[in-house]
Amino acid sequence: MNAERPTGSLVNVGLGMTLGSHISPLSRSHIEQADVVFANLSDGIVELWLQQMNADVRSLQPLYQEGKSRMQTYWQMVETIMAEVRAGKRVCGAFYGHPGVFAWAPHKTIEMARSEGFEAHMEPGISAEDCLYADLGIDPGNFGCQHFEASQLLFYQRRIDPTAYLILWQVGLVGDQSLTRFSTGPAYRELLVEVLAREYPLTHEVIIYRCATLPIQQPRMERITLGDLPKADIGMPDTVVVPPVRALQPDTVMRARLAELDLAAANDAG
Amino acid sequence: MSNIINFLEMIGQNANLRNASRSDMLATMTAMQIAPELQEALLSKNPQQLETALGASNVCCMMLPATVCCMMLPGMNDDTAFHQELCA
Ligand SMILES: C[S@@+](CC[C@H](N)C(=O)[O-])C[C@H]1O[C@@H](n2cnc3c(N)ncnc32)[C@H](O)[C@@H]1O
Repeated sequence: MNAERPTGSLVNVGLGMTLGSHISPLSRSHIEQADVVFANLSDGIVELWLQQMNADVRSLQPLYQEGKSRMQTYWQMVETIMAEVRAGKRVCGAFYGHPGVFAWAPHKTIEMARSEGFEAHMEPGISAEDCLYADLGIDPGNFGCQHFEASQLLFYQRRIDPTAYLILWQVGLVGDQSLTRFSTGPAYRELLVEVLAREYPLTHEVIIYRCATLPIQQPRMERITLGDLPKADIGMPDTVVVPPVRALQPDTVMRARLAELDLAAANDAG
Repeated sequence: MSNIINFLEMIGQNANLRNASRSDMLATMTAMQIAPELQEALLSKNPQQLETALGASNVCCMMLPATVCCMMLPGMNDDTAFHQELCA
């Protein structure tokens, strides 16, 4: 017997960071052809733009409430989206940036839809990370690049490699154990600096970065010292970039072993 | 309202307009018949002013308009436990 696939489907797409500039033709087509579009976007104007692409755009924003656990908000997003998939609709989730970068609900809904037998997939978008490489002129291949959700550095014992770039996300709400706040403050960032100061001097230069979400804006690229991070003005959309502080250390043992291999290969060939 | 969204989309897609001078912006906005108060908001490059003028709001995080949503928790290991608790 052939079990039929249920008719509902889900695709989560990214609009990119900047209105008009980044959306892929395929993501736009998914939005236009969906029965219903759920939106979690960076600002109200981007939401107005999305509304022009489909007649049934529903914002997920009202699910956020100060004092309510974000975990609860995220599960409500999942259930709201899944209800329409289960109702047999062709559903599209539209998220700013890349839908799978530092975003939990897009991954979770796809996982859940698939486990219930629905067709579900993700279309990538241009994330804040992509814009950061372009605006700040950073190539992650030069020294390597590590990305952390800032609070993870406080909640868990993580190992930072100071010879590589360090990119910190959600610094604006670093250290919020309650999961109910939308910003923390200087005292919380002090603790973040304390952790970072194990690897970096307080005089080390860091960059506060915010890419343009509207095409009339310019990116924020503010260079300050690590020691000044607590008193800096840091909001939800800011990402903090910590450049490497130490030079790469040559691995002489491995280099010698590689040379042996090269020699052996040359001898075999000869 | 829709012509200003179309205008923003056009700037976002056009290599000449993306970093256009003030006078080029003005000329394009006038050609597109954008209302003077919106022209002002656009030239100020202030998204909050623009949102107010358009009546657009983003209640995300219950903060000012033009803020970005949080979409991630710092440790997601116990998410399933949380859901079970929620559904219990
Ligand atoms: C929940 S994550 C979402 C990231 C998004 N999915 C993406 O693809 O970039 C939110 C974090 O992304 C970063 N972010 C969001 N908007 C940004 C912007 N305009 N410029 C730089 N970083 C941004 C900040 O670190 C913020 O705390």
